[in-house]
Amino acid sequence: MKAKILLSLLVLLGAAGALAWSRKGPASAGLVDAGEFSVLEVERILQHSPLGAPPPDPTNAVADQPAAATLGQLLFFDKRFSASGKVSCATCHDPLKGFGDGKALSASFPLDRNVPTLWNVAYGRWFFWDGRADSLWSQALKPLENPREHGFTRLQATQLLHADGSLRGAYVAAFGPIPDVGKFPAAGGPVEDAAHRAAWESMAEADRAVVDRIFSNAGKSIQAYERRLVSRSSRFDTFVEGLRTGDRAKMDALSPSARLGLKIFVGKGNCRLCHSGPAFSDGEFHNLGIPPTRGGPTPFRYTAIPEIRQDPFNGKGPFSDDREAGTKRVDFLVDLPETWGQVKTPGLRNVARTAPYMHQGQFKSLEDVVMFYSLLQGVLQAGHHERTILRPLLLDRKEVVGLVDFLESLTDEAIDERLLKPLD
Amino acid sequence: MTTMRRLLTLVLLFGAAGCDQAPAGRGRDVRTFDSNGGKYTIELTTSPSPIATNQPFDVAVTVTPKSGPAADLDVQVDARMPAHFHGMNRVAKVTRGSGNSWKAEGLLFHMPGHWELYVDVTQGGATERAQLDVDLK
Repeated sequence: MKAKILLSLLVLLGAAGALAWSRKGPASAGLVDAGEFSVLEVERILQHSPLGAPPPDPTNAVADQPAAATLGQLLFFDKRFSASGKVSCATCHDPLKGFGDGKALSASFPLDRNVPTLWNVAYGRWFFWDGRADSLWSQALKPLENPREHGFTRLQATQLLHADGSLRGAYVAAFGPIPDVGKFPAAGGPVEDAAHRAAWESMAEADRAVVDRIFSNAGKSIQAYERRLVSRSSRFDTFVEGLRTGDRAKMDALSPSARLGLKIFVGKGNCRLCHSGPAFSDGEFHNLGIPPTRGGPTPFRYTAIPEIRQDPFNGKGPFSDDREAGTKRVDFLVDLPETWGQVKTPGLRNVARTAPYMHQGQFKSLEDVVMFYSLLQGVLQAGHHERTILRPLLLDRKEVVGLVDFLESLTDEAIDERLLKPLD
Repeated sequence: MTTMRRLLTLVLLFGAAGCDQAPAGRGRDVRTFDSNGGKYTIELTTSPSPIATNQPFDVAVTVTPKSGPAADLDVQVDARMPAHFHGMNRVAKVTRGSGNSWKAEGLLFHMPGHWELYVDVTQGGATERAQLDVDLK
C-alpha cells in the first residue's frame, strides 16, 4: 500500500515535471522543426523580447510621475536654458533624428563624441559614452553647465524656473513650492568662468544647497520625461511573439534575410555577448579599438569612475532620494587598468534611425558597422593591459545584408508622437 | 523493487528537470564543494538563484575547515571570465555573518558565457581558492 502511495506521488511529480517541460515546447516549435534555428538559438532569441518597463531608479522619487515628466518635457525643448538662448537639449538630441543630431561629430559644438540617442536611455546603468554619470538625472545636469554645450549656470536655471510662471507651475506640481531664489545672484555655479564661479562661492553653503536641490529636481524631471522614450514595438518583437506562441503569420514579420541576420547575431557573430537582453545592451563598457577621428586616444571609462565618486549629484549624495541604493551603485565600482579606452555598449532598438555610429560616428551606415566586424579593418592594436576577444567574422555578402536587415527590423513603428515635440 | 527504484529515479529526474525553471530569487540551491587544495569545504548559495546574465546577485558562503580550528578565517569573493580575459566591472562587498559564514553583495556577470566564481579563504597568512563554474546562456 505504501508503495502504491509512493508511486502515485512520484507519478504526480513526474506529471508536474512534464507539464513544466511542455510549457517550454511551443517556443522551440515551428522554425526549429523547419531547421531554420536550433533550440539554443531560439532560447537566445527569446532573451531579446519583449522589452519590459524601464528598471526603477530609486534615487529619483519622481522618475515615473507624470507631473515631473511634464516639467521635464518643457525643459527639454526650452532654449532659454542656455547662455546664447539658442540651445536646448533637443538641439543635439533631435527627436526627428532619432534623438541624435545625425552628424558624426557636432559642427556647432566643439565636442569630440557622437551625440548618443535617447531612445531607451532609461534602461541604462551608466550614462554618457564613458558612463561618468550614475543616474539619468545627474547626467541631464552636466550639459547645462558645460561651456561647450548650453554654457548656462545652475543659478540662471533656478532663477528661470522661479521667474517663469509656466515653468514654476509645472515645478510646483511635481515637487511642491519652489524656494525664493530671487535674493541670490542672477548667475553662478561651480563652472570654468571665473565670474560665475566667484558668484557661486560668495553664497552661503546652505543657500547653495537650496539651489542645488532645485537644480537636481530639474534633472529629475528631465529623467522622468526621458524614461518615456521607449522603443519596444518592432517587427522583431512581432516575430518573437510568433516564435513564442507558434504563430506563423507573426513570424513572417521578419524577412528570410533578416532571419539570417538574426541567426548570425545570436550565433557565429556573437553580437549578443555585448548587445544582450531586450534592450540589446549589457549597459557596460568595451574597447573595440576603433581609431579616433578627433583628438587622441581617450581614457573614457578609466577616468569616468573617479568622476562618479566625486560627483555631488551621484546616487549616494545629498540630493539622491535613496542614498542606500545609490551607495551600492557607487561603492561597487572598481578601478581596473583594462577600463582604459572602454566605451558603453549602445542599445540597438531604433538603431536604423540613429546613424552615424560609434562614439565618434566613425561609421556612416549600418553596413559600414557590419563590415567593420566582418574584417576588423583599421582596428587599433590592443595596448598594455588591453586584450580583445574580437575576431573577424569574415561574412559573405548575403550575411552582411542579412545583419543589416535584422538591425533595421528593430525600428519601432508605434512611437508616441506627443513625446517628439514641445508641449503646447 | 529494482523496477520501483528505476521508476523512482526516472520520475525524480523528470520532475527535477521540470522544476529547474523556478523564477529567479525563489530558489535556494546550496552548492557544496571543496577548495582547490582540499583544505576547506564550501557551502554556497546565490540570491537570486539561478544567476541571470547582467543582473546583480549576492552570494552567501559558509566555510568549514576539513581539519583543525576554524579560527581567524577570512573570505573574499570575486569572479572572472577566463575566455574574455576580464572579470566583473565591480567589486563585491564582503561582510562576515555569524560563525563561519560570509555574505558577498553586488556581484554582476555582465556577459553570457563561462564564468569562474572564486571564494578565496585565508587562514594563518595562507590563501586557498575554491571555485565554481557558472555558465550563462
